[in-house]
Amino acid sequence: MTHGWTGSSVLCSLDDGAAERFDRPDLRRDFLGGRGYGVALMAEFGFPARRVMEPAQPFILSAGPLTGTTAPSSGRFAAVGLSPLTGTIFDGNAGGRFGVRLRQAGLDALVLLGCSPEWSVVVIDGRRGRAAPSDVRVVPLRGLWPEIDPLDPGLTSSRTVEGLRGRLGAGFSLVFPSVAGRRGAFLGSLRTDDRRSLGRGGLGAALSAKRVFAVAVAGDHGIDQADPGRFEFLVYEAEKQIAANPVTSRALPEFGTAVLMQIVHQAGALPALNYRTAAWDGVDAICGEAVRDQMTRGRQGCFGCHIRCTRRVETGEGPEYETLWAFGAACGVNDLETIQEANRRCAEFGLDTISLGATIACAMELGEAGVLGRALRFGDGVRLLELVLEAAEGRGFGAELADGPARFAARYGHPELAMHVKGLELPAYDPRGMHGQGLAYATSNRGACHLRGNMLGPELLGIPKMVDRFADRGKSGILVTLQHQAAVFDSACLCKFAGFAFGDELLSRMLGAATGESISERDTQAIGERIWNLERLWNVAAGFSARDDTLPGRILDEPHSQGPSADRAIDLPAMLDEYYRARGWAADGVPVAAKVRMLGLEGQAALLRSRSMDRDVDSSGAGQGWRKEVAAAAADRPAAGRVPEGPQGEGRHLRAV
Amino acid sequence: MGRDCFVSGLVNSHAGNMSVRIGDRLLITRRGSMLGRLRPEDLIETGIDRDDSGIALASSEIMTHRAIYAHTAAQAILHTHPPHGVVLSLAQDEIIPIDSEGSYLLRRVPVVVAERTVGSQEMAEAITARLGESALCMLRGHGLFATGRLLEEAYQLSSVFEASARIIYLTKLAGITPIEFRRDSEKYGEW
Repeated sequence: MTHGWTGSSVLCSLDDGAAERFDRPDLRRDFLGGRGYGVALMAEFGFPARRVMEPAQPFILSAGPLTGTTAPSSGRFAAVGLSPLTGTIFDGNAGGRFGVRLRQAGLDALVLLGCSPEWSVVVIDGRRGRAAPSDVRVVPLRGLWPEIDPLDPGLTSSRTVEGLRGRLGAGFSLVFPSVAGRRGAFLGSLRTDDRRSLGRGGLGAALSAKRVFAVAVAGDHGIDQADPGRFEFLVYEAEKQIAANPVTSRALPEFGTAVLMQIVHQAGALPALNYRTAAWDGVDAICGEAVRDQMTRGRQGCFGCHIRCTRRVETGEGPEYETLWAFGAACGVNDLETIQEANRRCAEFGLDTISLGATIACAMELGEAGVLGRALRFGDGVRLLELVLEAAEGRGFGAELADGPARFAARYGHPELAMHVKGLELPAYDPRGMHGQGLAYATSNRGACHLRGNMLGPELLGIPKMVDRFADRGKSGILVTLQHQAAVFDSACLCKFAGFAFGDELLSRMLGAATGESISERDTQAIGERIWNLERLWNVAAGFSARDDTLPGRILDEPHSQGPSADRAIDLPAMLDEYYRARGWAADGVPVAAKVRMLGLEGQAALLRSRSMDRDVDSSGAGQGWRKEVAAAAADRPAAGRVPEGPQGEGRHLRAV
Repeated sequence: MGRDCFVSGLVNSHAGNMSVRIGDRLLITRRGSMLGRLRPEDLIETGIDRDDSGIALASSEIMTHRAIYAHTAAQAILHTHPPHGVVLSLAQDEIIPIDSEGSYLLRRVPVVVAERTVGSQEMAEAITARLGESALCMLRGHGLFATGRLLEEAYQLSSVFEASARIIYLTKLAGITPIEFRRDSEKYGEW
């Protein structure tokens, strides 16, 4: 009997609605679930060198062995696909009930291939008494909800949920592309019916390219563990660790993630005004204390979460730290109400707040430099809210922002002002004040991201211990460990915030008790390493290389002139050299044959290599979408300032990415 | 940190060693160095799994350090001779703390046995075999190997271990029968 996993997944062809059940116990064992299982299935079914929006590319939703158990912060699932924003393999994950329902429907994963002939809802009804064991149907939207236009900008997240719930009946949980995603915005997120976002990378646009309006799942099967008694004991121990850690027991519950604002600022690591400075004087107005005292009406958490970091405010869910930074410090706006309204609009229309805030910040800098030919300045909160709406609705100047700063800045002839790595915008930690975080951004497989291996712990919070945040040597080991830990948490489907309180050691024991497998801490690190290397192999096959492991020129060449991080230049080449050696990769950042063999990835590596020959007609590699557009814009300066010509509306997302 | 180890009594004058992993290299203390008085030249760099001339200067326990790096997720290793821990290791096959901090951080530390207790393959294999189940492993009659993601983490665990061992030792010495205050504490034996 299978414990911890259901032992069943579904491969669904959207072209004709055919669904086929399968199981890959070898991949479950080696990649665990969630992100890892999804990445492994991507390598099985996907084409790294072809366009990311091609129907043949898979899109995967998967749960993990801890999803829906009593383990703290474990009600999560992953979405894995290709990002139109970065061109890399990409995943996001969220809490809420969807992952729990997926497992209760008897499924570990859903693999979507092809493209539906019309907008459709994938309906999985795994409730007992229904078609056994799980009924998967592709239902045309016009039959289910005939009166709506899926591309109507007014069809917001809450309207989508309300409409689908009313038509599908009770018991279903939903994942759906936001309306911005449906309209093809590369910043368009995925949303769940319980208001969670899978924000980054444009996964909403990726799922929309398959004309999937939503995935709905219902289930009522039990979720078991191999050794329930031991599992509960370990959960009790995990809860003790969470209660004993002030980050998870006090800071996040009381302030939410906004608690970081003052801490990061005081370290000179809060980037402001499009990363021009770390000495911005508006922090007190938008910090965790301000959010608590001026806005917070209560708090809430995802399914099964003990930490409950979400702020409840008058207009819905309050802004997180990254959002406060993106619409606040990055844009020079120090008004909480404005930031919250931008946050609310992004939730309703489904735009990633980090990416959009970073893009507006870039536009503000260009505006102040007189490049845009229109008035736009840092600190203009009124204009910021207008731009959010325009970006969401795909109209006016704001429409130019919905594909991220790399493309936007290039159109105006200043690609150097886009703060991104591999097409993904840098989040709210300035590498000039946290050198290890810079290495984390540069080496992340999905572009600049703090969630792939967060050096916030060792560089600012002292978790597991404090290191010199300006040191350039000796950090590859802890970063690699944290990158693997993040991959394993994403694959077990546990929130990374729990990782502030306990690490792989306790997690591996919980996984062992849940699955009945013998899983040591070393095994979990090996799983994380396997996932990381397979993502890397995918990206290499897609055309990425060591030259993409870098940071924006502003970060490397313009040290801060004042504040706690003044005059602290980063030696990224030295850090990368050490990092590649720590990973057992060649100097060009490619996993060597011995490493591939050690991780048991020979089959996947050979398959990806052979498929890297299978290219699009333009034969330049699908993974280079943003770079191609940036290069094209640079070569075509007269076009600067105009949105590129191309199909609008439904066909927009079928652009050559 | 070396000075802290000496001052706190975790090592005597020339005992103990420590290393950190840096990519495919490791930095390890020099053979015969004094942890309480480490100088820059006492830190020897050599290969994580391959010798170079640095091996002539490296700690005599480098074989065990390399084996640990090869078989665990450790990024740093600290080897000390905590007196109370050594005493307990002479009589027990595992050391289970009875105090609060030790319970939170260690839960259970295995004790292994080797005939040749310095720089032997036998010792390296015995220790790495058990470090999969704990961040610490005690070699009977010799000392403690502690691992961590950072050296400071390994030092913290070593320090907590010796404090816990001392509490067990004093409790036994005083003839006290502890009143249990922890839920499910009997399960730490299966940790």
